[in-house]
Amino acid sequence: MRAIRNLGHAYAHARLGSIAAFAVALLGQLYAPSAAKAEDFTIGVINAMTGIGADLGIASQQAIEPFVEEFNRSAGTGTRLNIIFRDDESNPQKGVAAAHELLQRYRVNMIMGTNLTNVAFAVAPIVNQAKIPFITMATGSALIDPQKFPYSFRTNIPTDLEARTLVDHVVRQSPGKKYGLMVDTTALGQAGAQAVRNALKAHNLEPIAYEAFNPADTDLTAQGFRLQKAGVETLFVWSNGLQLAHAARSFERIGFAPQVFGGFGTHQEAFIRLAGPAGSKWAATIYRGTTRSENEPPPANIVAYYAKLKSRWGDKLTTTVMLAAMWNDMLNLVVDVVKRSKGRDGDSIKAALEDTKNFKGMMSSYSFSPARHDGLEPSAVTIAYVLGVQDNIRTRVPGMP
Amino acid sequence: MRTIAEIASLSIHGLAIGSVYALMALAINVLFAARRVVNFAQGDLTMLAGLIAVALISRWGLPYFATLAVTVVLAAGLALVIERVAIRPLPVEEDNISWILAMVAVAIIIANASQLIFGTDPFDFPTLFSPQPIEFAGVRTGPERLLAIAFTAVFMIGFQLIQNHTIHGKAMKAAARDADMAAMLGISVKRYVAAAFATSGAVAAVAAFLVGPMTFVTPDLGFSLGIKGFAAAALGGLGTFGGAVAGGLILGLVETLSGAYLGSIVKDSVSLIILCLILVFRPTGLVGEVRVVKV
Amino acid sequence: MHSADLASASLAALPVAARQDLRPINKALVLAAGALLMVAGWSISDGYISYLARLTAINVIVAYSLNLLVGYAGQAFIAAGATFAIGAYVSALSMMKLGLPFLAAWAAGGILAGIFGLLSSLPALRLAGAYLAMVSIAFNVVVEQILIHWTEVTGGPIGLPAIPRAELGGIELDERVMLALIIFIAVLTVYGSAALRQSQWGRALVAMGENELAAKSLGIDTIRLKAVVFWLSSVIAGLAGGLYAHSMQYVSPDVGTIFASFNFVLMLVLGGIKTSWGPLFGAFFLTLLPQLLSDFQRYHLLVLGIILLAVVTTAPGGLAQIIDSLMARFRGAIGRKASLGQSAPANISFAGLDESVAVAGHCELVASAIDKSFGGVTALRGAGIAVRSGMIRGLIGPNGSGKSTLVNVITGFDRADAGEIRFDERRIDGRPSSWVARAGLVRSFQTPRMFSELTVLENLLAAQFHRSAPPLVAALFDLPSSRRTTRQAIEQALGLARAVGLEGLVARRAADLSQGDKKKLEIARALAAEPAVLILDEPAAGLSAEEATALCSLLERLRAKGLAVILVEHHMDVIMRVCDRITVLDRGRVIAEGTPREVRDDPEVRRAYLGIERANIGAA
Repeated sequence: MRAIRNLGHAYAHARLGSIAAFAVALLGQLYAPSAAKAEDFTIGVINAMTGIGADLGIASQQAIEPFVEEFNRSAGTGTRLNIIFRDDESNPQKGVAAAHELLQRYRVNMIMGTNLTNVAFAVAPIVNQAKIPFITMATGSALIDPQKFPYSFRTNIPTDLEARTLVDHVVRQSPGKKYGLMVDTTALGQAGAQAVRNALKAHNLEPIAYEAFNPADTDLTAQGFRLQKAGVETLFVWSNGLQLAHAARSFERIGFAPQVFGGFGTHQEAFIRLAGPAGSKWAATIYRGTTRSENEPPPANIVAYYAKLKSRWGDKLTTTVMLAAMWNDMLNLVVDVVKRSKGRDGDSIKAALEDTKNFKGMMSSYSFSPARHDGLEPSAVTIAYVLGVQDNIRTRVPGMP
Repeated sequence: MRTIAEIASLSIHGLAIGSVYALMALAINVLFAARRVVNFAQGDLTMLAGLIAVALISRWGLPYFATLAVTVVLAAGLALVIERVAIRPLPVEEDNISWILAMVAVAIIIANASQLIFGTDPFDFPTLFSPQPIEFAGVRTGPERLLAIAFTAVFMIGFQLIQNHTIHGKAMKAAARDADMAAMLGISVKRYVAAAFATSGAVAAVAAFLVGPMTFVTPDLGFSLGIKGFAAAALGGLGTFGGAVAGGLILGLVETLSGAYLGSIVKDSVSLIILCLILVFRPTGLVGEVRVVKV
Repeated sequence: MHSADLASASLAALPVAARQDLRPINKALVLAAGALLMVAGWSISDGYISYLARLTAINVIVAYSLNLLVGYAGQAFIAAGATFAIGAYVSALSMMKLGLPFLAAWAAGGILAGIFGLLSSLPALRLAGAYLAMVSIAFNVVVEQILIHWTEVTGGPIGLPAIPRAELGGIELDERVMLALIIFIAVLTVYGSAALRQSQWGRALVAMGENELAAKSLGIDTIRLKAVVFWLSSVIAGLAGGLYAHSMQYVSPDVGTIFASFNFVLMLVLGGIKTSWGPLFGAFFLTLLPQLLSDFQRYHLLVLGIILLAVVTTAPGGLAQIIDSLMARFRGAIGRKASLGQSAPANISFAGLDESVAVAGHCELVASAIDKSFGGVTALRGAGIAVRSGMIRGLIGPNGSGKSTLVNVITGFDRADAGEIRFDERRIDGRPSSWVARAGLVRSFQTPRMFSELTVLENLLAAQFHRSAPPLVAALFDLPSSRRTTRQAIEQALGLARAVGLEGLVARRAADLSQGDKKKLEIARALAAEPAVLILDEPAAGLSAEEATALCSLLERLRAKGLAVILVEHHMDVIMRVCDRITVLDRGRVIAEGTPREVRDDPEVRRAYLGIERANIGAA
């Protein structure tokens, strides 16, 4: 009897033991060393590869991989780039997990990416706490603040600049219109709404109607209907390409045809393919380098770069040239910074980044300083029609340089 | 100014999206009646069917109706595979909820596999008509919405006729009411469950053809579409035919009208709160029989 | 009395398997393991490992809170993500905007989550299963929408960055101390839920989840019990949310989405729902596996889905089932078979009945002029029945004559359209069934309604819940008062099991009993609720002739003890042998009332039974 009881206990203990073994096995796996060599410069890239922001993340990877391959081929025995990609599943909590893994398990020298503003907001404090430079591609203005996030940098167009460019243009070209604002409920949309309101306020204006929608909404008829009833003539929108294509289609159904201005996200492939003729009056901010005026030939360097990408990826290529060019600029900048930097530690890299003056990229020249972490020249931004793309080059709206 | 025309055109939109919800709910109900599981992968299956259809038309150049037929067959086959792989191994006990895990796992697999195969970019769905909106007596709408409503109506009537007037339909209906009794009458429950899955797959394919032109097709939309279908099914009464129709149309209408008149931010909350209230007063849905608790 | 718990005579008499379920938790072991884990947590200096450990431990807490609600209590309310988010946001905001100290802020998060839980229990009073699941999804979406849109307070879609760390007495807790704190709470949760499951509360919860009607018939106040379990589960999930907020220092609406809720449910189901170790496995697995798969990048969710499907289809009971069967194989290899109380079933005997059934005081039940119709079909027309202490009242009639409806009306399961029911002069009609049962009217069911997953012994213990529930706190921490109530309940339960001849089967799952044994268990279970009036609906169905005879003796002894008994029965031998008076129903009316002899000779009764049960009447 006693033996049986002991066995019962042994069984319970064995169960506990198996849990422990399971945990230890998993944790042991996590402690496994990373494959990076000490002389490599390791960059962790966090992007959405699945979920709502996946198209941007995957497109980014299509620009990063050829760059790294080419760079490492020509690097010889010098510093090579080692990139570790992590999927944030379009979820900030997963982004945080990825950041912890990259920083503390792989000891990366730099973190780049997160195409979603909310993920960037979640990741930024952790990367800054680890004192590792973070070059984000998310556009939310508040992400760059040298006081709050001393290690965060950006080459992409910040939302504030986009909104200012749009509002200044609209007020200059067609003053006295009734302005409306429609955004999605993600961090991107909310940041855009705030930026547009601020930009309008600078002209003592405000939107007469405001609509928001969930990123999963596919029918934006109701929103269009309310904007139409309010008499909106010029509409500012902030969302991603797919949602905006829904908007364009829904507006068409109810015969609502305002002039529409949006941010960078409007230029996504999804809008171009799906909006249909309804999107012909839509325009959005973009790098000047990927645009031309009506009568200009397309910029040759961009056409060549796009052809190179096309030959690398063929039919699989989903990236737009502006997104690819942005990454190309970012990575060229990083290579330059690594060359100039005194060491691989975060502070040296940060100092070298802040020491960048007029670094020439395809899209802009970039300058940073301890007080300025948004490196883009404001003049690099213009407004172009979203549709009517030729050779991946867009046509600027009349009146924009 | 809430003119009649305005409300009419909003109602058409609501009914159109409601028709899709009704189809999703119908597919969910067919399975619920057969196996007491809620198929959380229904939306993903619909989106996958849509992606397959787009590929067939745009890459292989198949004609529209041939594509519809092929997609229906493929989706039904896929549903049978799901039944075989994910559902048949599970116990049939009423209170065993391991099916939640199985169905969510299937949803994850379908969504991510279709993203890997077809990419993340959403696709425009081919339609029979030009996308130009039509206007009649001040009511403006898109042809694909009218098609969705009309097609769903025809489909529902056809489904009802098949169920009531063919031996297989009657057998399925009987088995849905009382599986034990059906087994005694010689209806193979295994075959019936398989038939239910195939039906749900076929309905998913049909739904894809209707929802595609309205929402585009992208793997990400699947889960939320499935949840909407579940909401419509619960609203109408799980496992019932009429419930799927009533629940879907009401949900679509409430969503669109509350979005237009109360504001788009509260749209989802309003329709779900209404759903909760209705369920509290009618715990088995609008059409579901108020089950007399047999003591 | 400490070590005497195990040595208690009645407990020692139990088969090993049953005793294992009831064995008090070894607190020293828990304390040691908890302390060890906390030290281990405290010693982790690697940021990534610490992050994963915190996340895992927090998920463990939520998975166990969900096990109480969705597992034991069987309530398909799956909005744990929303509750978690409420706890996280309220705790964070209380510290950031109201300047509360950590402990107060954390508690505030738990309190608000608890209020949300109480609100959630309201729809659960009317809804069950997939409908309740849908409502919980709706609740979840509404919470998520509030978090996204109430930007001034919640920070909108970006959420709340830079949440202050937890502090105690003004001293900020660093990551290592925080991890130790989270582990402490996790160990407490695992311990508390195990203790709760082993207490009378746990059995009542499982009973309600298994069969709500039967639970009500035994006087379990399911309204209150639901409120308690929704509240408790939500408070725990909310507190976990608070720990998350102050250790990750960042929350966004994404922590409270439907997807997050599904993730928690998956942890529970994958690990093993209703088991005491399953949620632990599930939380570990689903927290760490995605991390291990992160190198697969675009494929990792696909791989995760395939692994989940593989696990659930090979073991619907989850990882706990896999590990259990591995262990069973291991044990089988060393030659020990599980002792599941497989001794031959004994016949009904009366040993122990005297101790286990209290002598009832005098009481009288009178139901009169009861009308009841269901949607136009009249079930009862002016029917009535009366019984008092020390009397057995037979209730007979052809099929469909309204016997079960009358029983339902008396016991509060149906509401009469007209008429009145008095118990000791007090009107009891219109009262809920569990109230009626607590007043002393306990019934059995025509088709046995078992708490299938509970053992025979636990079925009998659950029936005593309404008069032997320890305070919730005592149950959660396995305090002596909780153990005392369990011990007393066990003694009575064993007596009753002996009385109906089930003592050899006390450790068997009720679902695995034969039909006859289920009938016996129903009678014993009704007795365990200490009725003044015992109402048995066809207790002899499925019993052998000897067992039916033994049943008669049992009923006679209960009568001798002062119980009032209403016996609904088709078995005329039994009716004629034990009943003092008999009421005969036909098409909803009382057509005869009197002693067995009077009833047998009544011409109208003969007419009603003519051609149907003439043989039986004649034989009696």
